[in-house]
Amino acid sequence: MSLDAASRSPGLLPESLLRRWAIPLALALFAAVTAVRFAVTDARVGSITLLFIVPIALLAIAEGTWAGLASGGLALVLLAIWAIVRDVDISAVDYAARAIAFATTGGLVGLYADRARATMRALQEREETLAAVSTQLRERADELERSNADLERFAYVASHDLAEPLRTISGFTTLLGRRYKGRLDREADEFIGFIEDGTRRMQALIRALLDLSRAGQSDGRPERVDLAAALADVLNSLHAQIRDQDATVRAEGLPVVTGDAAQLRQLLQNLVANAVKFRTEERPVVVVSARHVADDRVEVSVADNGIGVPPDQAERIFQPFERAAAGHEGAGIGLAVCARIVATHRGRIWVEPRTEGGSVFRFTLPA
Amino acid sequence: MNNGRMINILLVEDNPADVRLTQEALKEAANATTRLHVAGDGAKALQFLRREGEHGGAPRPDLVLLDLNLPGIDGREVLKNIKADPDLRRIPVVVLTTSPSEDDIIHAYDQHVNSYIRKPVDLDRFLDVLRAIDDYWLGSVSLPPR
Repeated sequence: MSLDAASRSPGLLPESLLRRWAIPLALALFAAVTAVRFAVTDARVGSITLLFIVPIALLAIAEGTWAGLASGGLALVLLAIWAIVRDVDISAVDYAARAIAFATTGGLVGLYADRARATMRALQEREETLAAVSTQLRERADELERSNADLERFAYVASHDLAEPLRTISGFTTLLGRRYKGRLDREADEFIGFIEDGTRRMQALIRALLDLSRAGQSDGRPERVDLAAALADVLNSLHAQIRDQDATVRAEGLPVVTGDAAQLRQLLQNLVANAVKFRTEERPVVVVSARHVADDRVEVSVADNGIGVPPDQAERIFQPFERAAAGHEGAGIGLAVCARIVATHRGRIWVEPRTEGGSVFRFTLPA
Repeated sequence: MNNGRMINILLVEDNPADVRLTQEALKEAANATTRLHVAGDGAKALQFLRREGEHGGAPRPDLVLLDLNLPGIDGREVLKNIKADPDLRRIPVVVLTTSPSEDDIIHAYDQHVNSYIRKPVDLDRFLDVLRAIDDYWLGSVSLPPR
């Protein structure tokens, strides 16, 4: 927001010149004329002129250029009437000098006042527009936050409430299978198997949905998190997988960042677990590194030599329940959870292919 | 520890399917001679414990298995009432619920619950839990005399 656009509107004289010199000049001129009159002739003329000049200036300030000029003219007429009534001798030169003084005062002060008023109005309008826009924005943000929270609550409640009847189904199906397997016919056993399988898959989905709805929820303020220590914790909890896959996970220069420690551990854990899980024939090698991309931003990379992500899947894999690779267990929410965690840290996550095979997942965090 | 003694368990649970499942599971899991009494809501549970109304001749339970989400007086209220009652507060109360809420867990222990157990979804795990309850509360623990 600036004054410049309004005050640079073209006028009779350059604005800066008017503002700086016109009024002092007019007043100086008037003071000089009055002073000369005081010294040389009748002091009363000077005094009466001085009496007029103040209301003219005030009128010009209040009502603008034309009011200023009109009051200047009126003052001249009143001066003439006063001169006639009191029988004061005023020369034509005196009248001319006063006419100039009144006109310059009324006109210039009024012009300046008009300009100032226009500027103020423009400024006010702009401020109002801005306030309206910011209110709108705030309302939109509140709305978004509310609907987001509603959605999270909905997912949580839905998944929690879905789990209840599913417990009943799976419990009694298992009981049925256990007590009556082989005592009904082969088809019945098969059907029980299908129900059991279906409930198991649904349980996994509900668990995933619950995990996802909780993923973005932080219970504390952002804290300083040492990513190297976080990764060490992650490697500890992934110890069995890493050993079973004969994988190597290397950390290179991991900094301290700002965020939620539990969430950042979860983020690293999901990415490292994926890197180890989606492997080729080669021994999995995972490198976790980081670099500053701005003063307050860190970009972390998790590079692997695994099966890679097809370019057309690069965006989709961060959606919940999307699975790029077939034949692997899991509900397909690991990367969706990562995306949510990065989003709550106001960062970005994406995946790039590596020329030597495999992929590199990158995300940004506040330093 | 409680050899030969008939163990009375009060199950406070509103869902008939869950009641049945618990009965079946206890049948498979329990070693001790147990009798399962069922109260379908919080008010009935308190009546049973206080031997009021139709429960005039009810035995004093040795263990209460309490669900938290009940119609009317809910499990949290029942727990508060039991632990505030000098006659009843000695009876071990095990909360057995699907609620994963941390607030519920903290609140229950604040109210002196004896254990808080989340019902596993999987039947085999549920059986494990009941077996553990049976082993511990009815096998290892010395219960207060009635």
